[in-house]
Amino acid sequence: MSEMVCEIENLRIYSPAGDPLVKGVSFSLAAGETLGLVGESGSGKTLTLKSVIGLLPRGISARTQKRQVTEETAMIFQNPMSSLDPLCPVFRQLCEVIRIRQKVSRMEARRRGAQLLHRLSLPESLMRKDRYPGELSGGQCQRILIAIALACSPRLLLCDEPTTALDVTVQKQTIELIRNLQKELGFAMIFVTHNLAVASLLCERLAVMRDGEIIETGTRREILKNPQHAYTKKLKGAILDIPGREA
Amino acid sequence: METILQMAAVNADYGETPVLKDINLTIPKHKIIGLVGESGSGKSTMARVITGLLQPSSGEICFEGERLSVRRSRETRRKIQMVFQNPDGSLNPRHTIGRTLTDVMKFHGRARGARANEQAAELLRQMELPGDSLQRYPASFSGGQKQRIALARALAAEPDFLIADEPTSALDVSVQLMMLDLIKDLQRKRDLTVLFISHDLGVIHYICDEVAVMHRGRILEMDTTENFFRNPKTEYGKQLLDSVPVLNI
Repeated sequence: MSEMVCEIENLRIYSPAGDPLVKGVSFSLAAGETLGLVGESGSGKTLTLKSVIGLLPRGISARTQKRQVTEETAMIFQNPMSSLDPLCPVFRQLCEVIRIRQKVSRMEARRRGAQLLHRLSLPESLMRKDRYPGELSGGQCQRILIAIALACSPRLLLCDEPTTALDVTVQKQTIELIRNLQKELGFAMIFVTHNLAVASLLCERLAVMRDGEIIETGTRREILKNPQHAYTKKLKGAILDIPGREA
Repeated sequence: METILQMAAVNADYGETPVLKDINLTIPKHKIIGLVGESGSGKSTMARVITGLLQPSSGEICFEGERLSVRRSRETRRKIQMVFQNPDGSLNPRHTIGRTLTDVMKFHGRARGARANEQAAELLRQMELPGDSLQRYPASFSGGQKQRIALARALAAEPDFLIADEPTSALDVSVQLMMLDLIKDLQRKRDLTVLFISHDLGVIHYICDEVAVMHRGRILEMDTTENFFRNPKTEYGKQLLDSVPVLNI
């Protein structure tokens, strides 16, 4: 059996007032595995993800029976614009992470940064000092953030609805990009989304969350072909598909 | 087929930036027309121009056979109503739902006093909202409920033409379906014409009779929903359709 990169047992998260927000969630990922956390707003999926990397908002407390997560964890967020420093050129933000995480010189960081831009099909012009986040499109910003996450050579990548704020055509490109990178680099991934279709395109295992609990979990096929829980059936039924379009 | 709204060579801009470029569009009566496109394509500007929130820089808009001038009569304004994407921004947080609805009725001379209250209660009942909603404030409702209240507010004016600008994109998927069914149902019962703006092709397919595709300020194609989804005429239309994520079982 391959090595575990993330093991969470009986995760409970409480609001500042002590109300339970996540009520005993458990999951684990071996190296290279992909898990989709699917649920609607307020289900606790984002809190669960944030607790994996230790980014819970102030006042929110978490307790677990077991929590083992690899050090090499990176995360990308829903809103790319607000994840970048608007007053700092994008390439500098990328190189800074490479320099610190990979412990290389400025020159070497620039070289590796350029490679990453190329890998993510971003134009070389983004290396210029006058390229600030505000001048990039949402899709480009998200790819810069993916590049920054990859600069940490993660063994576990956490994704919080990274394609939700993007237009459909850009969303498709970004999903394909993440999928290819995952296959090529082999990192494990937890992908949080409210969109069952997006999750099904990226993840081998799915977990459906509702009111702070995982109500159903299994392989993509099990969950989608033969959902057991009424809520999973409802989520699947709410997908407005277009006849003639298949994966 | 009868036409309710016609736009001819309409251009609009925000300062120096052109947003609508040579829009020619004919909207038939008693249908749900989808306006689909990506962010920045000009969909919402179309809504602003039709409602009169933004003046076009050139071109002509005719509503029910009459050319719309810069100053519109109260009657014309009543007939064109809108539901916005974010219900929090379109409901006054300090007014009860009852007041929000009856104010619209009073302003447009549809009903006043006890009769207005009765009609407001009836509207909320049609929206499947709880019976005590009239006395409550927007903050005490969920997102999906607030959006139904926003829909009730638009319908309180008894419009002929309803513009729904991404009315479900802030809602959860399971709530979205209910809202779409409600709009469909009301359109039939009240003989409304609906311009339904969305970036979500699944939603457009579910609710619309016809679809117009916008890209960079232009309308690239318009067709019946069936034809468009079977065979989009433009390269961009195809690309849009190909990009919809489908369930991978």
